[in-house]
Amino acid sequence: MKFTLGWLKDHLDTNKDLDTIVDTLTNIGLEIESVQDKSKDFNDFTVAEVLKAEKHPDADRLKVCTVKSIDGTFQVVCGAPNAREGMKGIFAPENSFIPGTGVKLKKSKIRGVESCGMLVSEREMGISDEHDGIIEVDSKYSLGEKFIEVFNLDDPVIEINITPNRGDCLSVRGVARDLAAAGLGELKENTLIKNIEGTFDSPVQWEKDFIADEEFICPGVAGRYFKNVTNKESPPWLQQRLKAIGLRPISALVDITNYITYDLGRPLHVYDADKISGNLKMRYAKENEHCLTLDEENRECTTDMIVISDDKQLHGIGGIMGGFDSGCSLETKNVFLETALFDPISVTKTGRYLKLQSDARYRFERGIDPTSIQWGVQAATKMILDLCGGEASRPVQTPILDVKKHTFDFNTNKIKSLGGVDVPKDNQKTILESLGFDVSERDNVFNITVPSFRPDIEGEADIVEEILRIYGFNEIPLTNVSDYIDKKTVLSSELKSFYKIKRAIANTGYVEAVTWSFMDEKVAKLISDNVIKIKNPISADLNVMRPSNIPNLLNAINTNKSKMISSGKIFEVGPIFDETLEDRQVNVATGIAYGNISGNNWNSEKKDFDVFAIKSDLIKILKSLNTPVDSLNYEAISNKIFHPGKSSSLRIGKNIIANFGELNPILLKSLDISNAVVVFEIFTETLAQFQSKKTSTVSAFDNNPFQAVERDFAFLLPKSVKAIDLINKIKKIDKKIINKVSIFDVYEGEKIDENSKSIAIRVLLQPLEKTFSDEEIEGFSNQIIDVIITSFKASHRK
Amino acid sequence: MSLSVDFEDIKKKIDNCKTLQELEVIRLEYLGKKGLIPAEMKLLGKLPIDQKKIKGQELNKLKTFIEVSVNDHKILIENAELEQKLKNESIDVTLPHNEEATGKIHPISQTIFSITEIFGNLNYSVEAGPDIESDFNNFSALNIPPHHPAREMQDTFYVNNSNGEDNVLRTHTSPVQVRTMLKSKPPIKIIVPGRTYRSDSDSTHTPMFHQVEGLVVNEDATMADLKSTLILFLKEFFEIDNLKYRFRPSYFPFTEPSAEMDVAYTKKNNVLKIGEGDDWLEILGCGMVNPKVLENCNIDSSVYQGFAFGMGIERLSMLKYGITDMRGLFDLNLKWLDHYGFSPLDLKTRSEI
Repeated sequence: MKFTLGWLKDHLDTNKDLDTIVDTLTNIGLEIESVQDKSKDFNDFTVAEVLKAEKHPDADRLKVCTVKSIDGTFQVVCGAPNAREGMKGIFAPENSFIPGTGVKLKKSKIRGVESCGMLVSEREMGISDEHDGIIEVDSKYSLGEKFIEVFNLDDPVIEINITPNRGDCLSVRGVARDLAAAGLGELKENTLIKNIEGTFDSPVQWEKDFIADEEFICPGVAGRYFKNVTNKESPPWLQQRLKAIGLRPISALVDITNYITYDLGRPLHVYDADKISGNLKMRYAKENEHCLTLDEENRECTTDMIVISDDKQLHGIGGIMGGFDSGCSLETKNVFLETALFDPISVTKTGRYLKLQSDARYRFERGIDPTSIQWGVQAATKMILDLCGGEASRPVQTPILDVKKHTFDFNTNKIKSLGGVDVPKDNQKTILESLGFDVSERDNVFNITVPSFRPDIEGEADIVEEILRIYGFNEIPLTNVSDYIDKKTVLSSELKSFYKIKRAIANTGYVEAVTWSFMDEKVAKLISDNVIKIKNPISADLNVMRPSNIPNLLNAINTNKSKMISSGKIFEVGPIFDETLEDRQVNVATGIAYGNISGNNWNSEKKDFDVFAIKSDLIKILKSLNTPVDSLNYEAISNKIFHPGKSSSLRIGKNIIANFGELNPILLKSLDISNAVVVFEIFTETLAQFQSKKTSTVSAFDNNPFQAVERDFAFLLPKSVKAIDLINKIKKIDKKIINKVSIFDVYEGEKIDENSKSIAIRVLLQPLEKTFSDEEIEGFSNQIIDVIITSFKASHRK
Repeated sequence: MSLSVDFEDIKKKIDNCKTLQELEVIRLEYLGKKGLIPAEMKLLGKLPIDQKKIKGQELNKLKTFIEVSVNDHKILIENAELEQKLKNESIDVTLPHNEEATGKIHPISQTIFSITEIFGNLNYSVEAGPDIESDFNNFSALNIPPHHPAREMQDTFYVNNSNGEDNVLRTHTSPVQVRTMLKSKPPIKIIVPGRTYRSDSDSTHTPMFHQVEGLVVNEDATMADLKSTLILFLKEFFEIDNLKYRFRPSYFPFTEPSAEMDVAYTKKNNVLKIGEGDDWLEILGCGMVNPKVLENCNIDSSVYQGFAFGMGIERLSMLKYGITDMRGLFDLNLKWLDHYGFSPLDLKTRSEI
């Protein structure tokens, strides 16, 4: 919402300066978007006279002018065709800053002739695109008069943000009312609303056609007929105000409707009455009806749109835009006026469907003062008769739906109990009354009648806001909000694992990234058959919810290649989405690793990240979230993400805790990635069960004093035997004594049968009550050998 | 007979030894089987008892003295030899070491950790909810009916639901307010950090971003408590004692009264300083929970009241950590992530340990 300070002062009698007004607007909830005060920018430019204009000796199109300004006489080289002796124009002196070109003016020589200062065009002043000649001003202006005064640009333009609830402040008068309530002055009488009787019966009538249940769609419409008007350019004051707020003056009749829309928040429409056949009717559009709107678009109407029609055709879309065919032109002689009321929801739907925004729609959507049906006619009448002459008919209107006054009780203690600040009762009453509320008082209760222009006010909470915003949010005192009593758990176990795992993963050398929850359907389909599609994606390659974090993270590989970064460890903790999941999403911590493990250093192992590198990271991460990693069970993965032979799921109980392994080369190929990538995925919620452990409940340390013993074994085994099964089998012999089983060598190759592998195992035996005897150690060794041979068709290698 | 040896002489002989071999010769001379001391010991038996005792003590004293002196000198010689050896063992320690990858925490996570820590100390607990939401939770329950102009303030992503209804990608974290109020009774005191989505993409908007939401519902929370909480939070978050702020009326369908908070800032040499200056930066929206929202969530608005607030995590991160390009947060530029990321040991607790 834009207006000028001068315009505001039409409604507000105030002696406050611009800064005070601007600050107050923000403080009462009408937030300042911008303030344009051109008086500083244009201070240097004044009216000057061209004393002489002679042809430039070396250029046909240039003239050498002698210009007299208030500061003296200057020689100016000028290319404008209209520069001539005796004219008055606007002079920009040397060293002034030209707003339209953004250049500081310097003394120069143009084709050998010195030029000092400049006669400016409208474009150079930044007030229009006009650049065919220099500005000419009327000879009545004297030398030295300021450009901004001649052009009426000295009125500061204020733009404020109006929140959707404050339709009443989409008018200068509404803004003035709020400022008056805030103590900045008095709201003046509205001079536009004068009762003008009219001298004849309107030849055109307003009708409406809605069933009783839907009267609310168009609660009423009024208007009147004007004959013998003269449409012409608006007077300068009106044009300047419209230009100042960014509207283009068209003709007096059209400008009046725009002016009243901004001045009083009352959208209007004027029809060229000679283009109307019969009466005008508000009704729903019929199937296949079209309306050519003022913007010269032929709009197809749907049957839930309100349209205005005569006997032959449509003349507008209710609350949105008038029709082209009956629009007013400079030839218009007879006019018919519309001031209507429409259901905000209906207008919103229609506007959205047509993708058509207008000042009228904007106001109807936010709610308009229903009493303005009648006073809107009067305001328009006064302006039309004042500016265009002619004669007004008696007003006409359809039946108008009664609007019940909205009244309710307000307990004055509510300001303290909800707002936390004491505002004296009298103060509360004064504020409400200055905002247009009727207040009758009884004890601590106000019976409040809401003014017709405030449909947003619903109950006590709204009244608290009204009083407080005028009283000042700054007056709300501070309280002590520290709360050390009743300590609660900050994070649930689920959230603790979700957040804490980020530190655990970063601590293992991974860099955290945050990527879109969306991805390309083409890639997503390689991963899941139950992808969730976005109906209105931001772009075609971000059109589904990601069924995995992995493809987004993989983008890092090619993105960073150009920076000569060829290896990395990256992770993200966030949701993945799939139709089959509960709530259709689950949180996953995903890490990828690729390229050389330790860079290309002189003594590093020249080795790429492989399955066992990522497994080592994964187990470290799981351990730091208290996961009992000794209880992990391995399970084959059956999805398209992982390499089928180089991956595994890890399960505890019935939950899959994590997946890890090498990515499927087919997936990598489709993403144009040529190197191998290893990955882990941790389902963070499954770790919740391990998070409640209290640090104060550690079991006692068992300081076993007896000498531990190590024994090595080598077995020849079928290739299909899994290492974890070997280890578990040996541990099972005696979980207390067999402390550790490690595998220190694996061999497959020429020296042994091609279906076999050789595995070397080291077992750590810890005596519990006394040091082992040789016989006891021998006994354990034999037991181990027997178990492996019988369980796995193995042979013992001595 | 008396012992014709002088302690000083022996000590000198031992200390003059240059090698372990020389030292061994001297040791054998005195302490070896055929050495001086065993020889003297053998003679003891022939002496009278009173002399035997005195002589024996002298011999033992001498023996101990020689043993200690030899041992001391042996260590000296060994160390000297070792030192000589070490001189020839030098390597070039300036050769580069193997670099282990250094992990980093993303600025958005670090910001969420900070926020959680501050509100955790004020006894808030953290809640979460799904990104794909019902229209009811995201809009209707929050007093945003289907054709309310407020819905145009946020361009919503829609996804299909299996039963044909429209679901939305939550446009704010506020639906978690609704979920929390529906499943638990007051008092409620929560914050909700999380991913949010709006169909908007330019230099200052991304289609996905993060918000943190706060909700307090009890019998007596006031706007004064709301204002105080937010000021306390902002001071803690930006680590400043003096915060110049503006608490001004605004509008949200789900709060009444509603407010926005601006903080003052100055910009010098492209560096923002929060908390003082003449320019204002909008930092959050808040208000007293609209009674309609409480009723929509089955909470009796004649008994309970409360406040809610919401803010953008990207904006907080950028202001606090001096990040100028919002899109950098979502790019996969490893150099950027390493530059703006945080050590996993950079804990946002008060003691920083």
